[in-house]
Amino acid sequence: MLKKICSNLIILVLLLTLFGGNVLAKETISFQGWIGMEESGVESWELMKSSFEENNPNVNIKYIGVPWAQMLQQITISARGGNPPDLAQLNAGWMVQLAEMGVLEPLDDHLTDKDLEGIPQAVLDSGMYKDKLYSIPWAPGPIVVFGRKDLMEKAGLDFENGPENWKEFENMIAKINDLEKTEDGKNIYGFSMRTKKGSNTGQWFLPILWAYGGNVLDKDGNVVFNSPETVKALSWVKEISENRAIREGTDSTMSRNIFANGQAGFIFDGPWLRGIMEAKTDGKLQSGENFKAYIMPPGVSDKSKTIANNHVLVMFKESENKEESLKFMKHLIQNKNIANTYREKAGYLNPYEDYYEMSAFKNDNIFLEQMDDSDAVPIKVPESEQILEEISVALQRAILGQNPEKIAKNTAEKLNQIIE
Amino acid sequence: MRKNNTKFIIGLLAPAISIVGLVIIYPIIQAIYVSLTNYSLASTSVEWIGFKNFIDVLSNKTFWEVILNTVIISGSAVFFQAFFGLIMALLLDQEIKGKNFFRGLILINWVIPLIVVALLWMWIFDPEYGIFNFLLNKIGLLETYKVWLGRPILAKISIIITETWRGIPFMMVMFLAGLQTIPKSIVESAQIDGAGPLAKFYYITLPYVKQIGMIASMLSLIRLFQEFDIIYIMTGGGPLYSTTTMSIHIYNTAFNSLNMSKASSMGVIWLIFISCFALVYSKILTQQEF
Repeated sequence: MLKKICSNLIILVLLLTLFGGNVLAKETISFQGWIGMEESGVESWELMKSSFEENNPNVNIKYIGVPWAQMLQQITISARGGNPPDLAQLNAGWMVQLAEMGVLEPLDDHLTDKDLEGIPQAVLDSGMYKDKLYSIPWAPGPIVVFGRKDLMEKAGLDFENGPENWKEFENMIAKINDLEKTEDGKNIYGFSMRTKKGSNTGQWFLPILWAYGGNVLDKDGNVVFNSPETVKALSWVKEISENRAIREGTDSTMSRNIFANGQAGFIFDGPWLRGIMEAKTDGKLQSGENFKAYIMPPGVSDKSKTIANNHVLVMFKESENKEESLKFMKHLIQNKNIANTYREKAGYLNPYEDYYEMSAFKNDNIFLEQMDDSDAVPIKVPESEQILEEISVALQRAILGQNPEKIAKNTAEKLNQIIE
Repeated sequence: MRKNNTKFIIGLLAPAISIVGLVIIYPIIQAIYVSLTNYSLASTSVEWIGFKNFIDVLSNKTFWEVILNTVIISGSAVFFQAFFGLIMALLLDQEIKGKNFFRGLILINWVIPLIVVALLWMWIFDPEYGIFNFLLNKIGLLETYKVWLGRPILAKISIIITETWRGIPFMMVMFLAGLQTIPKSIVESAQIDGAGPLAKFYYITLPYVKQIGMIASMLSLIRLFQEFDIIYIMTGGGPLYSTTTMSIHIYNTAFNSLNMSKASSMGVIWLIFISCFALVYSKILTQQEF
């Protein structure tokens, strides 16, 4: 009898091992991104992951952490090698390259109008490529102008209202620059501008180029950099460099340090600057009190236009768990508790307009307003990184005092070569 | 017996040869193959295009500027590393108190991670907070503060200074090893013959450390040809292309432009250049009488 029970048990265990595995096993969604690699993002990520797994016990989230700086390389290589994750966190501009490779799943058929309702059109448009939606915005980051109260008031400028248009912005920069030195003898720069060679500097120059009515490519993808508008924008950069209103060789960290140290009146940056400034100055520099965000001043077109550093989510074609992946995508973006925590702990915004009524977003209306006039993917070709790097070289040439007309002409030739 | 011996030798060598083949020879062959195609990470189609990449690369002005930068930065840094490394070695070869401590202290430069070296020197060269401008100003060499990493020539000089600082300990250790090989009897007989310090250095020390110095210089030069971290962090290859070296140019082409085939063709050209250089250098080394 005992023998029979034992043999039946063994058979049952064997059967369960052979066939029960699939029934009992959890589905795994792999997510690649840098959110969990950054100190400020760890807590939010833990909440995002655990809350989803709690509500979906049959799903296991596998996190593949990659630092931001290596993300594009890693994801390109894994996608090219046929081994991409199900979902990934990307910078908005990187989507074009992956979409061109044909590895991204278009999201048009997976998301309903209700899912996209309430997201500003400009933010949604940055996820479109060749008439298909390849990415959904997760953390929009419109770039605005920030001004320092102490320097602005010392220069007799209106801190509450900031610059109304580009011309006024230029005058404000000049006035702050006239202050010359801080109390401890350090140089004061009108504008803490990114000037180090690299695609990031090239991208940060675009609001200036747009303010003068210039552009890099037209709607059909033709290079239009060699224009009188570009020459004017470069001439202005040349002029403020000659007046020492900006500093050469400055990257994002340095430009923020200059602003935090009280050496610059203005800086271009995103919503995350609030936390960065507080951290850099041990809480001495408070958003709203000591420095303030203003809408990017409108230029010749009388319409504000800026870049955006949006973080987006994409799904890969090879994903075997599209349904669950989509569920997780929506969870990351639509869950209000997550949105609040992500803003409070990590400083990131949310794409849904109605979320700005929540406590964490109470001072963010200016960013919401700017979102509609922002472009996260201003150069929608796969070679965008290379193009932006070349633009940073053009900017450096202007800073070094070269002829703006020549710079515009030679850069346009180079951009044409890159695109060809 | 001989046959067995041959089999035994092949058996012993096989693992090493397989590893070398796998991690060195195979990638080289693969790079040569890729350089003859239009392989790009951003595209799914790969076509054979012959030598087009090589023609494009060699007819590009920026490529030659990059080669010149690499030669200037690496060559100058090695020269100064050898010069100061030898001086340090001569000083620390003397019977002075605490020489072991100083030898250890100087080696710190060599063990600091490259990223830390780069960040450290970025602060040293900072126009307002950096000690470099401050010191030059204090000793009267500089009236107004310079933006060292923001101007093409100054940025090149800054990189050379950083690389020199980083490489001195290696040269010093190599020269110290060379100095230990000088027989005391020769030095003593030179002293008896009335040779002064300069004569002793020129006729005794220099010939003894010359060979080791040349080998160390070649090793250092090859390392500098591959240098990436320090330059990329400090200047990103700029301003303009003034500090863009071959490694940075190849990296940008491969991972910013995603043009693997063009990057491979640059790599192949660079491999040929370094191989020729190493051949000529070792020829000179073997022809020298020491």
